[in-house]
Amino acid sequence: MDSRNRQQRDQTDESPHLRGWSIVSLRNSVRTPLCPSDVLLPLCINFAADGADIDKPKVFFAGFAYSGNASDVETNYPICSKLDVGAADQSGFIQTNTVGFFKKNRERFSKIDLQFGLARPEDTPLVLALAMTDEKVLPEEFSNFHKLVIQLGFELLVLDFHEKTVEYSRPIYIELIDAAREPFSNDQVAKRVRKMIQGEDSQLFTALADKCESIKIRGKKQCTLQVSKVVVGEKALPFLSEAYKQAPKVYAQAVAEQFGALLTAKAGVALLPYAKDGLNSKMSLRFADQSVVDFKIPAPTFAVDIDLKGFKKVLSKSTDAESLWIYGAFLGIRVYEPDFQKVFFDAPVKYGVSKVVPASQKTGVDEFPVVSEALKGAFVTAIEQIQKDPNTRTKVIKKCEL
Amino acid sequence: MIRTTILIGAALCCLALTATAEVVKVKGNGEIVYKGTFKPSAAEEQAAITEAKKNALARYTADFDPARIALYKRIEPEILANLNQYVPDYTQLDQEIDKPSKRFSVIIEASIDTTRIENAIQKSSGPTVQPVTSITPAETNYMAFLFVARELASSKAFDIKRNTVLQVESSDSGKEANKVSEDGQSAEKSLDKSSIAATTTGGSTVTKADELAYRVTTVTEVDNAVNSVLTKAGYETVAAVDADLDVESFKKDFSGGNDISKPTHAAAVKTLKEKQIRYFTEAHMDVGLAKKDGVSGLTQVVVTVTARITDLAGRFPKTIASIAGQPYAGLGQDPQVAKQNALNEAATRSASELLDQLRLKGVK
Repeated sequence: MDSRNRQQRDQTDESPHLRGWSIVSLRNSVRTPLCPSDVLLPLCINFAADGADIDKPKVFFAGFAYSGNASDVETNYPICSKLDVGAADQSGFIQTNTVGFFKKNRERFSKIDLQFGLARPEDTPLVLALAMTDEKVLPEEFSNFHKLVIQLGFELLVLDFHEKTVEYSRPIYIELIDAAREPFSNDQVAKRVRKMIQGEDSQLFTALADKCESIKIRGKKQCTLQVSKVVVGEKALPFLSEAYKQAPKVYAQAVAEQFGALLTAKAGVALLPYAKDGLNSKMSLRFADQSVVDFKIPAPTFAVDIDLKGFKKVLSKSTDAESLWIYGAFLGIRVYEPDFQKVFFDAPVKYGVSKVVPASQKTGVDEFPVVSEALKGAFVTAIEQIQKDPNTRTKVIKKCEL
Repeated sequence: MIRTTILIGAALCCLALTATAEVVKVKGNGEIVYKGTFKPSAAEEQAAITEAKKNALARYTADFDPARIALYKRIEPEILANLNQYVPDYTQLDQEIDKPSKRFSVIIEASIDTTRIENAIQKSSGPTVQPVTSITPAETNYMAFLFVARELASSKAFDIKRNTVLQVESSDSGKEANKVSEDGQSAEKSLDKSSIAATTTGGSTVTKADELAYRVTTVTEVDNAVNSVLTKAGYETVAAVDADLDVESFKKDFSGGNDISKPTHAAAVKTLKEKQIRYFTEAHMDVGLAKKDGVSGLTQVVVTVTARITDLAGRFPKTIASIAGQPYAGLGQDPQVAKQNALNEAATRSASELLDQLRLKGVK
């Protein structure tokens, strides 16, 4: 395989330009229950309880889980679930890697006392889990090369096992772009996915290492934010990859996760997971021991609506040697209190990136990565505007900061 | 993996239920008209927050079922008089001053102590739990209960019976002409004929309802769940077996329909009256077919509850609380677990709803 172009993209990287690395972020919620009563941890309980740090709140580690329909795990995560099949008496590949990382990096969680033992009734009901939320492989064929985009979504979740609610979450979104002259085989795709999630130097665990420090217990008065609605306009569709054109709702989820990842990375707010089905505010997790637990995503204090109006390209300059195209992303961002419809921020945002196309280039331009960079730039601009707006900063962001 | 499962089981066994204070967060808004020239005073701002807390409480109780709302209304004055105890905490989300109209409005996220509200409802309406030694048998109003679960054992479907009547009427008319040539060597014959046919159809269709047969069972877990709800509320419960009720007769009646036969009912009333048991709760829970839950992918079973409580104190039994066809859903890894969860959920919640109806009527 002649891989001539491989990019791993960090979704929390503020630079809107294509670069060499990638990864992501997290989110949060409210510490409401007053009762440290009956906590049931589904897994990772075969480790002896480690020493406790009495100054920091205890949080038990619950391991790795797949999000969504338990019986559809093999359908929704075809590559990862296959990698994750362990021997009868062994944990799966991702579970083993995840547990190994958290045990080795326990000290990085400086604001909590991460425990790997069996929770007793009097212990905290709070647990930390890494959940996989998305696995997408987007192959595309151009006239003389084959492109491969792999997108993996994760959520580092703080869960309340007593109340069965999501306390908060930090989304992690990693992406790998590769190209070759020949089509990518299933084995080659699986090999790349494995590399994205195996070992401390992998994209996933590099991202996780950055987020450990920010994990803490949300205070009783701290508020939550949630990306509640994403609208993908018709003018955006022509620029999307084929898979997304067929399923704009799936793209809307990716947009929500990318925005959430950037927002938590830049503003450190307590974010609740995006509810794909809108009214259906549940998150179902299948843990490594095959137990399935439904968690309720509580109503957020504040909501964010993203209206992706569309993308646009304009020829800026053209010479005999090359053409300079400007690709723009156009958004509407609304931050509001959903119950009483009190709007704190509502503004259009646009961002453009340039793309030079040499006259010698025979093939068409692969526009999706370019508009994705423009979208990311628009997200960063929007988040900066939200943070700069005194009203939104004081009344929303400050109240949601962890 | 086996070790993990065993440890989970061990963890379940050692779970201890402790007294808990449940707090829910609900938003509320409050508005006042202030008297000052430029802005509201501190007292006026506090008054707006108090209004917002009341609004949050109203929004919280809006989800109550009718019986519970009626119970809440009884204690509402007491709750509003001690608002800070029931809404111990809040976060102010926004405030706005409209100078032309001198209106000050505030939006808060209030923490509502639901356990305290529940205790207040119980205290005001339910039978108070007294030490056993202070109750004499004559003072105690016992409640016997019989909850049976049933699921479809067989269904006999009948084809649609169609009777068709067909009436056909026809008539022919025409003329026949014979023609012989002049030389008498040849002859022609012609026939003009027209016919009319009319068909009339009619009849009737008979559809016969399916014959359903149920498999009826009593479930210990359901009995325990119902017993727990009623006992916590201070009622003195008696299991159907201990009350000498003929459980098999009830099971037989419920296996073929929704009604208890007259002999079974009469026998139960007689037995309970003899044993000085005043209240009788009977319920049947229809277990639906297992299906896949769209969100979690787990198996989901829906249980529909029909229940009533009869007061046997008077000359004639009197229904004092009832539930008709209330559905409750349960999820599980397999149909058996989903069914059990649905039954437990149905038992607990239907018992609570019946309890609210009793409290509303002041039944103690």
